[in-house]
Amino acid sequence: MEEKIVSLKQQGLTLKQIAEQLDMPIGKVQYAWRKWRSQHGEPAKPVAAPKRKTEGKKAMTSKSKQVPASSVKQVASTLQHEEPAQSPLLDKGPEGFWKLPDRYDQDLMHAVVQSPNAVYVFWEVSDSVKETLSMQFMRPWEDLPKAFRILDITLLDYASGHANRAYTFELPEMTNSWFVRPLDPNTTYVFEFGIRTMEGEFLPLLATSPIDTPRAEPAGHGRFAEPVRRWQYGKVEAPELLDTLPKYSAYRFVR
Amino acid sequence: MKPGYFSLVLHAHLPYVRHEEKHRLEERWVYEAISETYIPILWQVDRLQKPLHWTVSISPPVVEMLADPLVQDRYVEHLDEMLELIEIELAEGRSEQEVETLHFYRGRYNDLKTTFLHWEKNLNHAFRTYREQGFIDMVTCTATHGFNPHLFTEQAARAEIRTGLNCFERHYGFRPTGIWLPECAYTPGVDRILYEEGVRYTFVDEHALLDADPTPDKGIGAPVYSPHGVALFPRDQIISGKIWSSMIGYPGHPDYREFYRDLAYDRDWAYIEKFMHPEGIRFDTGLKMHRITGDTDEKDYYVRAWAEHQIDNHALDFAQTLEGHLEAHGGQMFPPFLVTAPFDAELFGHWWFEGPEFLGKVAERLEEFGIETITPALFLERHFQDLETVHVSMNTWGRKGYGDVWINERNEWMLRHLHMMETQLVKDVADYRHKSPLVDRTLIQLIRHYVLAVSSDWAFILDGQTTAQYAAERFREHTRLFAELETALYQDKLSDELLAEHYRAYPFLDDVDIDIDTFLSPHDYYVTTERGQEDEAILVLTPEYTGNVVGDLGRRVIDEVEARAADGETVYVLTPFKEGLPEYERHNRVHVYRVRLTSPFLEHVMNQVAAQNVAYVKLAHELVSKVTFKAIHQFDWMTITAARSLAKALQVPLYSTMLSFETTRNPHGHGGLFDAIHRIESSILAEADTVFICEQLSTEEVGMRYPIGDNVKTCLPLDASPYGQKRLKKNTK
Repeated sequence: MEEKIVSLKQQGLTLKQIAEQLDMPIGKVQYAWRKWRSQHGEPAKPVAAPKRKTEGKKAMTSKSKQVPASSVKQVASTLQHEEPAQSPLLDKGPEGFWKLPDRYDQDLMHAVVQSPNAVYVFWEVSDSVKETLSMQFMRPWEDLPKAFRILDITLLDYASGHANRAYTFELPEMTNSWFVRPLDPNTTYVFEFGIRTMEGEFLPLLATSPIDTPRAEPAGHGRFAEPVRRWQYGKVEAPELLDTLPKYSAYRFVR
Repeated sequence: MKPGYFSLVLHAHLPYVRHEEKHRLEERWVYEAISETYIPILWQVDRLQKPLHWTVSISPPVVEMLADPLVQDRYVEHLDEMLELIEIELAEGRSEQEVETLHFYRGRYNDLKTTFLHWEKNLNHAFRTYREQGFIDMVTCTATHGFNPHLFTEQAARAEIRTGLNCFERHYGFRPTGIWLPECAYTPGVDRILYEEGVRYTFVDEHALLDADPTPDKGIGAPVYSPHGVALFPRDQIISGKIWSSMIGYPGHPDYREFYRDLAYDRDWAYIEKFMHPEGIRFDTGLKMHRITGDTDEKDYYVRAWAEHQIDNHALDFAQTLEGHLEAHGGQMFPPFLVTAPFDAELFGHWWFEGPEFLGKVAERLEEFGIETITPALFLERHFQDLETVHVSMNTWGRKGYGDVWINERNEWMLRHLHMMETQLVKDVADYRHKSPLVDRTLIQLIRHYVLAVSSDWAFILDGQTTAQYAAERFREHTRLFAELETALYQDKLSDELLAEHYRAYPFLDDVDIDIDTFLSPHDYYVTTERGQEDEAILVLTPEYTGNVVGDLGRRVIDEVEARAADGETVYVLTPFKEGLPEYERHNRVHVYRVRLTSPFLEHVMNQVAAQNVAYVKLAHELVSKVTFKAIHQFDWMTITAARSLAKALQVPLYSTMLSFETTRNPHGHGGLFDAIHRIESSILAEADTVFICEQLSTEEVGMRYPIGDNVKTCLPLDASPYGQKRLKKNTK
């Protein structure tokens, strides 16, 4: 069967056409083709998902790391699912010139402080997450109402699910950033982006790391005084303070 | 001697505006800074020939531009042009007052040229010499003045700091223990990185200390330690305001030179054209012939003697003010009262033309008044034991005291791309570090592109809307170069020529200044170097795995996974997080991830299931960066949507095991939830390569309720692989 697939591929058929011709699920055909390629000394290159009409972004692809190695010989003339690996920052506008990408097809949400009363938040939802939700709720992503939640978690652990206060508001469709204001100074916030479900429940998809808004007035002996003292005198192993600029690991979930 | 101290700090910074092509308007910023600020300040140091205890901070872009032969030669050309213009002006028969000022300029431009050539066109030599003679102290700034509070990763902040220090050390022969944080922007956590990089002090605005927690006993009369042990010297607003404010400060006096009125705009185009931009743009010549005069558009001519007289007056006034201020706080001990006055160096000379002479005069007056000047470094040497440790929240010396200037509707569009570059650098360094010298140089060049893009100047300029187009273009260009070079790295299209080309575009920093390991995380090092390669894996999604297994399903999953592992398969199991069980565990070839939801409290079943599926997809997104999945196997309706969307995205076969269906569990069910589950179950029957159903269920029975095809099969015995491949024989006895 594998030989059959390879020979059809080399005749220039697309994987989809091969799947139809051999009456096999496309997943199996793709797998067999990838396996054959990797066994024949060709690194399994990232395979792009079929292009959606919205954008030509690369889909999440399972890839083995490519070390600069011998360049890949093309087996078939039409590798329509093949895209050479490229920087996520590489994008072209309609005129063919480089432009800043509109999105990166990732799931991320970051917050930075603008003032004691305002925080700038930007986010992005990946196609796979959008699709998962569409399947779950049987509605296109665009039709799911978007919402934003502000959680005050001062002196609490976000992971415990407790918050001092929460405030949710609706977002216009197609937003990917927000200046969140007014906020209170000297407060620890987490911001969540999500959807409103049929029942009106807020379903968070993304969350920022906790972030402290700056103080805007003298603190006296405030909530940081004791943690600072404990850290200063070596009473604790690690400071009980919220530091920005965390160390980032690209493979933090790969154990 | 009076009680207390005074400490003056001058910070010289410009964005890196060196361009190979001639006639870039922005390059003139460097000429203006040299002519109006850097050399005039050096003149004062040279005139006084004694330890002034001034701390001069020079940012790496300025250091690099001052050391750049192209900039140096063009600056000399620029001086010659100005001298030529002055001669033409003098030949024009101008008014007596103008002629007097032109004579003053002729002398001044000749002196500028003499000084510049004396230091062999490299003013770094001048600053270095005076520092080594003990007249001034010096510190530097981060590599490109990146705005720390808006960086995303510790690595980027460290790279900015370490690269800046490395660059400065290469030019100045020593590594300063102080640093100027761009925009005096402090954010909790940056102090830890500073401390680890050998920095012991920096400068903040006064409200950083006034609003610190706990409130410091000495207010702004003494520096404090941040939680990680970096001394923070606060700007004294009252004293500084006398100097920088054009409203209440000295620079607004009517006798001083008017900044906004330049000869270039007062002459006919035909006359001045030769000295202007070839594309017909007028720009400042630096020959400003008028004085401030007052709050009027009618400006009178500049009278140099009057300006000099005011410098004397103001220097005396400043010394008296400072004396009063110190005496008012004279009771403070441990440490004695300190007034810190940090300024942008360009304020003196560029904005306030007479500023450098004012500073020189102040130095003389202070000595007469018995006021002791001190550098922060010396202050710490004497009084390091007397400082309090406090928590300081994010703040800057910018508009309104926080981040308003650097993040607003005019410049927010840059941030997501900067964060993307940061995370890409971490990943690239993890993946490619030490693959070859050429690759390492590529990583260095990528970091160079990134630091040039992250310069806070672009956000600052976009906020001010002065040369917004230039700032936006520069940001885009560095991002584009980053994207192109990173792509060449991925596609194995690197070459010495390509790297040389990328470097030539902006020859900022030497390769030795940039340490790729600043972007390395120990965990990534483990993953890429020590963890070893795994076989292609099966991704299993299941609502239950170990812990309190409730029914048949939980047992079936465990048995199935163990059987496949025994076959030699690598298996990744994704299942919901359960209190009391670890988030991750590994048994030989089986990785178990218990996946937390973004938010733990959801009321409705379908929403909980949706959130769980989203969490699976997000985690799988992260895993595929290192793990190759060859198939997905999902169990039960609760994991169907994640499995479907992942199978589609990864383009791998999808297998399903359904021990029960909603219609078999709940034969008389009806209503919204029942229908929704039924629809989701139908979808897996349509999409999976194979659906294995429980032995107790017949396909006919299922077929009565669901549209089924020939992909539905009864569960295989455990020793048969459902994936239809030959079992891998392992350790067969």
